[in-house]
Amino acid sequence: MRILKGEKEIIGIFPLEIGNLLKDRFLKEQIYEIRIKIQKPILIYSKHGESIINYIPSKEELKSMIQKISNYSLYAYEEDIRQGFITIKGGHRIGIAGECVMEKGEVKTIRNISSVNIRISREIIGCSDEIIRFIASENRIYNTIIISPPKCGKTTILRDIARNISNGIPSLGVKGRKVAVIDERSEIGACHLGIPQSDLGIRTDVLDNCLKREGLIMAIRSLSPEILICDEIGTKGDIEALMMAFNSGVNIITTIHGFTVEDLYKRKVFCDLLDNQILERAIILSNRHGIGTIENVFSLKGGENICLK
Amino acid sequence: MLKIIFIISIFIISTYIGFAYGETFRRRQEELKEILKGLTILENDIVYGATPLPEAFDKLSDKLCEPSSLFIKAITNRLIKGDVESVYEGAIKEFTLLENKFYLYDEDKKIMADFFKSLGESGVYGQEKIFSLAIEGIKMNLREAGEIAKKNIKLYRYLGICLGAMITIFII
Repeated sequence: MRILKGEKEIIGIFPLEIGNLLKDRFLKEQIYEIRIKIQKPILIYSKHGESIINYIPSKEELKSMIQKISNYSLYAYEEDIRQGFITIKGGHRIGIAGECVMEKGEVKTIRNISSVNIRISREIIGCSDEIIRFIASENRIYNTIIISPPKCGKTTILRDIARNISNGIPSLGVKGRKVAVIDERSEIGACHLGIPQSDLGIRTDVLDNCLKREGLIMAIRSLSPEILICDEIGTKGDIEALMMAFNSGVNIITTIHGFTVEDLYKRKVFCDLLDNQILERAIILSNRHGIGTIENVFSLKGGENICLK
Repeated sequence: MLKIIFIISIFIISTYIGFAYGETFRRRQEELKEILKGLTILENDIVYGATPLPEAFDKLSDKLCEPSSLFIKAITNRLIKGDVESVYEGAIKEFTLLENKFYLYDEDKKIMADFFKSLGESGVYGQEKIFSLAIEGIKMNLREAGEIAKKNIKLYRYLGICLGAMITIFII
């Protein structure tokens, strides 16, 4: 039976019976999320919406899944489990829920895992071709922020932007530039044993599993990038590191959760980026006409929002 | 003439059996040494490097001698394929297939079985504990195996020779 690229890794983590049930669906539907709970039916989210599989997973089946998800090595994913997710080969993110063990007010680990939520990562080569002309010009790359609600394809687009900028875009006269990707959750590069499984371009270095703040500073110091790319910024530390990157003459491309450009202004944490006029482009995504719909592209230069699309 | 050949053959066979049986004690001791070496390398990779088991096993199989290397390589393949529910299941399946290549005693096997039951199923701290437990157990068995080997290797070698000589004398 034919299995689509990247979905072989997903099928491999399921117990045999569940795997067989899902195999056909992978071919027929474009599944982007699977939710499995002990003693509850399996939920699948695809481009056709939500569907329910009437199979009730047992505790043992979930335990076996966790073994395979963690590559039979829970100790190697302690930090990930503490954060509530594990990223497997192929860049697919698996959220976990269960009994949290607390220590000094922080989650130490999660035991008795009772549900998993598998988000399937898809690499779509060329999905950023439409917006790249707003981000890149012959002479430079604009500091860009992608604003998007969850599940609208911001990581997929970010990955393709990295590839385009790194390889260069001859049609726009844009030369390839050195790119550093700070991939905190292994979602952008989908690294396995440190090697990106996704095509991020020939001039891209990836700091995999690295905290954004530390990674941004490390990349500036050691990799001499022209462009820094990271996903889902939001903490003061991230912003400080981005400011440092800007002050070092490095351009930045990043994403945040949001719906409109106003969401950027509403959050205090982004004040420094806006006041210092660091951000030059804001791209708004939605899933109105399918995942990755580009709603608007704004030019933010000079404190004004000029709609470019 | 035929009788002489027959007598010499009996003597050689009996001596060989004595040597071969004595060798099993030495083999056990060597296998335990290999296991101890393997546990130390694996502990290093897991506790200090947080290396996932399939990768750690793969590296380990290159550093060990047979039959331990064959056993570890076979588990590695199973873990990479993902066709077992746990490391313990993989270890048991592979050990059953290779059991005749090992000279371990039941108490050695029990230590390793307990070790495989918990391998990979807890955080680094937990793994550290199961490694010390297994290493301690294997060290104790190794000491004991050394003493047994010291006594028995010579004993069975001489016994083989003596038995061969005795049968030869009776036949003559």
